[in-house]
Amino acid sequence: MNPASRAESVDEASLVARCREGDRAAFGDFVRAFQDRVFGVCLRISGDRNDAADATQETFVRALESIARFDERAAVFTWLYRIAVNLAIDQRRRRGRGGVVPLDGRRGRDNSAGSLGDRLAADGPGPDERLHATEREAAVAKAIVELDEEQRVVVVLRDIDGLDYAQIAEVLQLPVGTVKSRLFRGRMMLKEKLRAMVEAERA
Amino acid sequence: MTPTSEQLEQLSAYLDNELPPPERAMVESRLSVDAMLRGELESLRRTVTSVRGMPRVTAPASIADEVTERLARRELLGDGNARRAGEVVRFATFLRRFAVAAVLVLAAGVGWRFWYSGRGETVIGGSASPMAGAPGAAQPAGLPESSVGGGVRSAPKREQLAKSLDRDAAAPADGNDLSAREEKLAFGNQLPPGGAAFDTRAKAMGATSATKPGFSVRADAMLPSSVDVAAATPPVQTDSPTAGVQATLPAPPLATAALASTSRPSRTAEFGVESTVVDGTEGLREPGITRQPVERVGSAVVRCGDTASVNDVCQGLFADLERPEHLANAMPQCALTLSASQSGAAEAATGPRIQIRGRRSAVARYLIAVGGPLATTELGLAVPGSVVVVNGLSEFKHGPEISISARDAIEPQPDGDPTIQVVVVVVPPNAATISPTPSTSHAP
Repeated sequence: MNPASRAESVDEASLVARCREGDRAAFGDFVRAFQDRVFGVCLRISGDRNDAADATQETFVRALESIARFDERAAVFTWLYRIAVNLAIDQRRRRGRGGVVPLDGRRGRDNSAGSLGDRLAADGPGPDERLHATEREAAVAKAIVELDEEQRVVVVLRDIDGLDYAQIAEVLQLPVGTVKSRLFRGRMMLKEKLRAMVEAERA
Repeated sequence: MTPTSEQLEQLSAYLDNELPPPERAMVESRLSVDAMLRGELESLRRTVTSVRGMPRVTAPASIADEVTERLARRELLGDGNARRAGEVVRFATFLRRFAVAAVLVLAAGVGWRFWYSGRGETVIGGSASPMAGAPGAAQPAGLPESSVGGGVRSAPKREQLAKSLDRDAAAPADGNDLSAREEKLAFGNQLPPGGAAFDTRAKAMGATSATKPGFSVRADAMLPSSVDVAAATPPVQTDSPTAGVQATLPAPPLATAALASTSRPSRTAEFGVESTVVDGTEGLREPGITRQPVERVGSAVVRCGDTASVNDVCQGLFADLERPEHLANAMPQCALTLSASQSGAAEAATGPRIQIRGRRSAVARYLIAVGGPLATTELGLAVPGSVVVVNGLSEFKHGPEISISARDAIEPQPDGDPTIQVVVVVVPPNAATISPTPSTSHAP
């Protein structure tokens, strides 16, 4: 499901309206409606599940604190992403370049992803395939997190979350041309970093 | 033929179906005859596919609860004004109860003494009285001095004392009424300036400090005011980078400045030496003079650690302040990002790099001064160093990124990392556009 349709699957307007009225239940619904997307973006930018969880939580706190000032003409996810991206970048900067790549899928309070052992024990692909997939995911995640900040953010918004260029430009407040060039440079970097893996898979 | 960078960039957009039809047709035409280009496209496609194949992640299930708990703790589910009003009501109630309790204690103490003396026993010099030495045990007004000196009290004297006690009891009650009156005033539309200033200062003080490992910031903030600031830049003096550099803001102290007043003297700021006016993405770099009404002024001492973000600084400046209407769509955190770090060999030579990155802002323009030693007298600021004037609004939203060397702006600290003084002056969006002009005069 692309982001636009996912965003439309929740009644954003009524949700925002309820939040403005201070409906406590709506606050929870609002978070649950967007938390996976926001968390995914934060995770791929920060490279650390704990940092991503913190950034996600802070994103919603700030958003709901200021929801009365939210411009209803704007898309909710654009607004949320803007906050989330900034927070994730800040966290990444604070942590420095020695970011953590989640190899085991559970470094923080997230019990939903499961460790490598959990995954191997779960139904689905066999252990060898699963291990291979996990290694591959780790390699890609590492390559993304090693990108320059500007490129990383654009790559994550485009290739992980699926926003189109105009939406990315709106989130980052950049011209579309800048989005296009940063994405290109980021992809070229990824191509170099993942060359061995991609060629092996091709073979 | 090896594809050019431009062609590769087009391939990237082609993959995303983001090329306009004419360009798309051109790329497809080229692909049909260029095997190397097709190879590049395939390679790029595989890379993108591997990224897009990353599994979706699920947020920790506890986030929604944690967010709502945090919001509940901050009492943000209610109206902010009502919350503040509630705090004042609670404080007034406390004062009333305290006053009543004080009256009761006083009455009980004096009554005990009255009862004690009424039994015909002698009170010598008052020192034997449990109340005489106690602070606040003032002699009741109108009471004959001899009666305090001691002696056997007569019935008429007891009546006189009782009357004076009535007067004492009435006084705190009046104070109570006064509190009530102040409360009414504070909640009415005609908010007294003093009350507004108190509220503002309290909020500003509550939001002015933040400390975290490796980074500390102290920020002062005040509410919008209508004073003028003139940022006048003298000609660049290349031979002496710090000579003649002084920024002064001879303004009232913070507490006074919080009072909105049009009668205050204008503040002026002389920013010198290295001045940059950045207008949108063009980067207009000339010395300039500007006179602008000030929306808000804040300063912060940033301690150079690994990384610092001006989001933290600006939160100190903006957090919890009521936003004017035109700030309604402002970013919740801040519209600026500043990072100051001393890590890296390159920065060892140039000093911390100050990077200012614009985000969307319908807020205002910012005059940002980065300086070293803060010679502050009240709100007077001396900011040698570099000054960046950012014309905000629509131009700024494209995010000009400005990096300036702040080597000369560092203030070494004997007990730790050096610090940098950052001053942020927020100019309302409806103010006249900042425009560089020849700097024949420095200050009005």
